[in-house]
Amino acid sequence: MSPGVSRRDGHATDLALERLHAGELTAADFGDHLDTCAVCQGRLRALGAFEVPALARRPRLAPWMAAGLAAAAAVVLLLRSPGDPAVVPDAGLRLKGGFAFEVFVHDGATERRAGDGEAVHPGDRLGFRVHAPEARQVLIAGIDAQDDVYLCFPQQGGGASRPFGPTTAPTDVGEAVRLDARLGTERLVALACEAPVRLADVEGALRADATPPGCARRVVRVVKAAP
Amino acid sequence: MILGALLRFVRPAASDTLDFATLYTRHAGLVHRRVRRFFPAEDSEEHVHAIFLRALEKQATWRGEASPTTWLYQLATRYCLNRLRDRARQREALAINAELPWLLPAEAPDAAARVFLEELWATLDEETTLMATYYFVDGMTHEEIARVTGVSRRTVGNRLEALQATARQAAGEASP
Repeated sequence: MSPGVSRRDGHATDLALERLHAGELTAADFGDHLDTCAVCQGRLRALGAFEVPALARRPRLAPWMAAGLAAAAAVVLLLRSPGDPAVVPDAGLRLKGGFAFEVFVHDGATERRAGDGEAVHPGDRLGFRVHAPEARQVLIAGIDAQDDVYLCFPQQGGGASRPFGPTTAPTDVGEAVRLDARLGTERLVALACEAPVRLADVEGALRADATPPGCARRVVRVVKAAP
Repeated sequence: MILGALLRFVRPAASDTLDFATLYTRHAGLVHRRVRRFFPAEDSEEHVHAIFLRALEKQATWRGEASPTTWLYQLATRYCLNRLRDRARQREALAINAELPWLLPAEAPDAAARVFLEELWATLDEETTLMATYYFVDGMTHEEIARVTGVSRRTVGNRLEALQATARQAAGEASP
């Protein structure tokens, strides 16, 4: 074997096999070891057979982060320019006074309300405000560029909606999510429904950009790009 | 979505900057497997995300000529070790996933390795812990450790020989 690819016990190092798997090394770098060593052949096959679990869930923010996010969001609300078209209206259940959904982006230094098509980056934290003039069951989810659906609110309850409102103004839901490293356009969807709903029951509609029966829906799109 | 297939790494032409999207798509499996070496499967997703976010922060340390696999392997290893500073978790960490198929054959640690894992780990600086992990846990040679960490082979040898002497002494003192 070439220097640097062999463990002290004579087998290939884990890193060398990873580099071979990634195309950075060739079998020739291992001499005839890979042809003759059944153990390392098996390890290499295991690398090829490994499937990365779907990365659809986002870690929750620590409570102090969420509190900070809410406080910062309140400041931004006061500063935002009137008429900022952050929310894409959608058909569905009509709520007297209007159901509203706002998304706030915290990039570690600043806080801003997301306009539709807002540029965001991996690691940014998103907070949410909902105005439900009539008490409703609220659920917020995201649909990423690969059409994977993930839950944003409520994060406890196994994917079930939570009673929310009535409110007199946009109200922070008290939970936030951190964006993962998957790039592309993501849709953040808030549902306000007459009866409890579960994410598993509505995710097909959310993927299809449709409104589940008995619900009102609001959508904010963000575009996640590398910094 | 499954990101199991790792493809060749492509950097933008005439640039030594990282193509982060490509890096993530093509090397998520590597980072997952490295995380699994230290953490249970149910914890791995959050750690993988954190490592890629760390990669974004550390882009400045990327050298255009370097192997992206080595760079991420080093970044992931350093991250995992930092998260395992708790001594009770250190001992568990390397036992729980020792039988992962891409790691076999797992050798039983010798006396010096046991002392490192059970007693010395928490007392060492970050760089020495990293080198010792590559040596005792991953079975790397001094030469490979020098390549991965970017320090001279002499420095690796000096640090590990000193550590082994300490470990042997501690093991001897611990023996009846």
